[in-house]
Amino acid sequence: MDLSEITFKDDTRYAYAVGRVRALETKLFTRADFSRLLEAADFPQALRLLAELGYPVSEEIREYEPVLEAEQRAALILLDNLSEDDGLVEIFRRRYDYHNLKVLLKGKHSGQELKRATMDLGLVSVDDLAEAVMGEEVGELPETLARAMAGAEAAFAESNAPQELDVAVDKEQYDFMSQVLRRLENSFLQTWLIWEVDLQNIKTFLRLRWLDENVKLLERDMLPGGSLGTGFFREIREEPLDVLAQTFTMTPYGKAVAEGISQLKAKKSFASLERICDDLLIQFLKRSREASFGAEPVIAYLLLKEFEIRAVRAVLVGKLNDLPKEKIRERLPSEYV
Amino acid sequence: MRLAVNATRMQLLRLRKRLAIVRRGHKLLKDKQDAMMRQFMELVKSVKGMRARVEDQLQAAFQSFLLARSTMPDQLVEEAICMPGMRLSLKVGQRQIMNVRVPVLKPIVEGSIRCYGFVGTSGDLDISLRFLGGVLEQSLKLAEAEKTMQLLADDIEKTRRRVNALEYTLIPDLIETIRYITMKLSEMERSNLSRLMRIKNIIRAEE
Amino acid sequence: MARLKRISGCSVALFAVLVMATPAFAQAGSESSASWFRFGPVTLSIAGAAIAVILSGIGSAVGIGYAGRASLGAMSEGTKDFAKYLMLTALPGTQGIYGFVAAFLVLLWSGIMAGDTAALTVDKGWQFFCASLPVAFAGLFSAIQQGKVCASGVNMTTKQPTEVGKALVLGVFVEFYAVLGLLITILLLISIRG
Repeated sequence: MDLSEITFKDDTRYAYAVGRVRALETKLFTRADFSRLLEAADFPQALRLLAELGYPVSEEIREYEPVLEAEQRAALILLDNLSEDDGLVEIFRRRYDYHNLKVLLKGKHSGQELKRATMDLGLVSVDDLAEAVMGEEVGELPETLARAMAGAEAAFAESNAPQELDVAVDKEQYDFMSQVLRRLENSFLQTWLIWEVDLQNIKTFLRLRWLDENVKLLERDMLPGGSLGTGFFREIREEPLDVLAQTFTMTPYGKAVAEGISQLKAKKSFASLERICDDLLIQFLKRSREASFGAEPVIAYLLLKEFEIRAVRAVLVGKLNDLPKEKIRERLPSEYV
Repeated sequence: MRLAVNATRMQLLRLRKRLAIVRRGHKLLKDKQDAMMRQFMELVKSVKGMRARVEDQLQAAFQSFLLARSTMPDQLVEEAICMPGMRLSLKVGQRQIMNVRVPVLKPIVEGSIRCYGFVGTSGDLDISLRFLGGVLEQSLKLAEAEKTMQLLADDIEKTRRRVNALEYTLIPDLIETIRYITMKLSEMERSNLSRLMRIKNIIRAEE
Repeated sequence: MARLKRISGCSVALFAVLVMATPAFAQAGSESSASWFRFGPVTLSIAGAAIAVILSGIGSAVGIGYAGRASLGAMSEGTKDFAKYLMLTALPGTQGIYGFVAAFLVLLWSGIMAGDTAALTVDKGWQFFCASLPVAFAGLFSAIQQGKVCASGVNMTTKQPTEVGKALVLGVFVEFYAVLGLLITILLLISIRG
């Protein structure tokens, strides 16, 4: 698929949804909002500012995670209300089922009670999922979850390594997402997924290289469905970092990867690389402005909101730990700051 | 303080022999103490460096972890690290420094410290865990060195107490006692002599 | 998209039925006036008027539907500029009015309103029918497209409330072709009458 060419279908069922999303987009945080948040003297003041900016901060809340989760939940409920395609709701809420599945599988194999790590934003209740993981009533589970579970169990039985559980479930998740988007014939979202998978794979590859882990296991950690196949990564896996920056010039991510690698070498941290990848995705999502009808703006809003929530988390964690504001600013997507 | 012994020639001989042994023992102990001190100082120096390194690494690990946490929801962090992939077992051995038995720790590591998939996790979590993995081995070495230091210090203390006891109590006591016995003996000899001379005079006068 | 195809498909089919049926029934009608389906000149004129109203009405309804839903979406999030949204939403409604005007003129000038249809021939009936087609089809398609332009305009206005003028101008561009359709219909009607 050509990554530069996206056709928007005039799906007029979404006329109301797009109108509403456009109004909501005006409330997404701007540069100025983030600057104000960064200027907050301490954590409680940052929380107060957040309440002013419309986040559900109540008086007694002293933690940030419940606030962010409530905001995330609101965005998902909005998607539920506005989406005319069940598939879209499914892929974005199913993510939490996969997450819970991973948690429960790890809990089962390490004999821990891990309810605190589950998120009840998915489509299957955590209790039902737990029953299925423990070997009861697997039949009730949606096919993709059952498949993910079986794959994860098989991979884990072979190697006994917990990351195998994650890898198997993640692969199934991305497989499922691309299937649904193909079925919906939505070229914008299909392209978005390809970008997301490619960037994720690039990050995975660089992390493997940085950790000097066995790059031969590349195939295991790469997600399916991107435009850069495992063959591409296998070819460049032995190249030194400086050469790597060049090899991506033919892809849409060339500039970002080069910049990310130089930052990685300078700062010994992945923060900049991850921020640069986020910037690319945000830029991409902003192209949904071209569409007046269709699911694209609705999904783009959800994803932009998620980026915003992540940026807010970075600010709040920074404030909580008294990091200097330049240090926090580095981590915010430059699309905002 | 004078020892409570009979002031006999027999005792004097015994005490003299004992003094010689004690002096030799004192010298040996003193040498041992010096050698231990030297080892101890070396250990202190290296432990200081090790501790600084471990603390630096730990700080780096926590900083990376903080960075990672600031980009991931708590539940995701929890999910990523809730089930460790690395198994660590510890083999404890022994070795002797100057007759002091100190422990030798040998970690046996199985599996990789990264125990999560790459999707949804931050690269800084990898870095944090790598620091922690490196710190683990070093902190075990540090623990070993610090325990050795502690045991050595105990032993130095004990040795020093012995040396001091010998130097400031036993040896002076022995010397004092010997001198006392010597004096007592010569006193007795002198009194014997004068008694003999007196008797001789009396006898001579009667003749 | 699917809806648009459905609407145009229906209208074309209706038109085809009329065209194919008319000659047969016109002949049959002259022989037996008792036939329930007589395609005389009056029927043709009425069909023309009806088509003008129906198609441009459908177009307007769909177009207003798009723009209206977009406006409601925006206003449901507390956006205040109702007046601006109202203008943009009402714009696709004009086609329906054009259709109504054209239908009114057809009924008036064919004499149906006055009950004086004696001068009407089958030829004349066909002329009235054909004359009402431009406004019908121009109205149908332009209203739907205008609805989309206006919905986009609503979305843009939500983000940049000061730019509402530009959105209106672009919407009016589409309107222009509906006006042309109405103009030709009126010119045709005048020439038929004269």
